[in-house]
Amino acid sequence: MKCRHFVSLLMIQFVALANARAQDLFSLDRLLVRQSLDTKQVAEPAFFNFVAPSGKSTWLSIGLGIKYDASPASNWELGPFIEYAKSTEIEKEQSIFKAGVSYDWTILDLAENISSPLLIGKTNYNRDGIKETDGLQFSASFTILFRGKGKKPDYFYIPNIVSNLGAFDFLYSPHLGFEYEDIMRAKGNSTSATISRILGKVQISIYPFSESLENKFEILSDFTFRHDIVNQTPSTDKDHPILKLNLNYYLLKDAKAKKSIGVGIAYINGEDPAAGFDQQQLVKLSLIFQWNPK
Amino acid sequence: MPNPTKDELRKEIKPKVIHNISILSGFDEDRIKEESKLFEDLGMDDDLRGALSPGFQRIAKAYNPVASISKSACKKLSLVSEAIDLVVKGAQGA
Repeated sequence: MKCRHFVSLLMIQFVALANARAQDLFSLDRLLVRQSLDTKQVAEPAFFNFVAPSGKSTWLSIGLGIKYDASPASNWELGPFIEYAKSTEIEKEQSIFKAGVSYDWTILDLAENISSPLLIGKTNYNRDGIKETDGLQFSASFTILFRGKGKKPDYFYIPNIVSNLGAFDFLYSPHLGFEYEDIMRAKGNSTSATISRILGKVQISIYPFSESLENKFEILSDFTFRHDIVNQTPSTDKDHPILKLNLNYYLLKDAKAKKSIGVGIAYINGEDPAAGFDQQQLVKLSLIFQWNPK
Repeated sequence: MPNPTKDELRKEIKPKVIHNISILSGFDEDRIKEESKLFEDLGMDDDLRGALSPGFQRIAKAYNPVASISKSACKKLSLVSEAIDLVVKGAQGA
C-alpha cells in the first residue's frame, strides 16, 4: 500500500452566526458548514487543498458539507443538506455530490430521563462522477446518550460522556448503523443495483493534560467497519474498514471569541464506499482555522 | 404588570438554565459559572449540548408561549453565558 504525505494549505470552518432570533426557522443559527456531515462529535472543518509536489503534476481536493436545520421541534434536527468531495489526484480520484435530507433525533428528554437513544441519518441523491453512477442512499445509525457524571473517572465506561482520567479527558462513542444504496445508472450498464450494509463505528477522543492545556491538544480516532449484506454490483469486496486518526494542537483556542488556530496531522487508512473513497492510506498535515462568527 | 426588562429576565432565567445544565452535565450548580465552558469545563459534547434544547425551550415558553430553542443552536453553544442569552432571547421573542 502506498503512503502519501501532503500539506493542507487551508482548512476553514464556518459554523454559524449566533445572534439570530432563536425562534426563527430561517436563522443562521441553524446553518452548519463542515467537511462532512457524517461526523458526530469531531468537527472536521471544510477544506480546500492545492498540492504541488516537485516534479509531479498538481492536484486539488475539496471537502464541503452544508446543512440547515429546519425542524420546529427542540429534540430533533431535520433539514436539507449537500455534500461535495472531490480529489483530482490521478491514482485516487474522487468526485461525489450528495443532496438530500438529514436528521438527528434525541428520542427522550435527558432532563427527565437518565439516558436516551440518539438516531442520526440521511436520505439523499448520490452522484459519483468517477464511477459515473447516480443513486439513492439511505443511512441510519444509533447510539445511546447518557447524562454526564461531572467528568468523574469512575464512569469512564459509559459511552458519550466525558471522564477525567487524571492525565487526560476521555470520551468514546459507539454507533451501530445501516446503509442502503440504490444505484440507478451505472457506467456501461443500464440496469440498477442495490447494496445494503451494516456498520459499526467507535469514536474515541482523548485530551491530554486537559486542565493545564485547556483541551488545546486533542487525539481523535474514528474506526468504522462496514459489511455488505447485499451487493448486486460486480464488486466482490464485502468488508470495508476505515481508520481515521487526528492529532491536533491549537495555538489559540478562544471559546468566547469562537476562534481557534492550530496545526494537525491526520492519518487515514481504509475505504468508505458510500463516500466514493477507495482503499488508501495517507497522512495529512494541516493548518486549522476555526471561526464561528457572532 | 409591566414586562420585565432584559436584565430582570436574565436574572430570573439564569438559575433555571444553570439547573438544567447541572442535570445534564452532572456538575453541582455551584460549580457552574457564567464563564464556564460547556465542553472543556463541563464535559458536554455536541450531543449533550443538543439535548439541552427541550429543557431550555420549556424555560423560554414559560415567558413566551411560541418560543422555540433549536437543537442546532444549543449544539453551537460554547459558554454557560451564551446558553443564558439564548434562553433569554427565546423568552423575549426578540
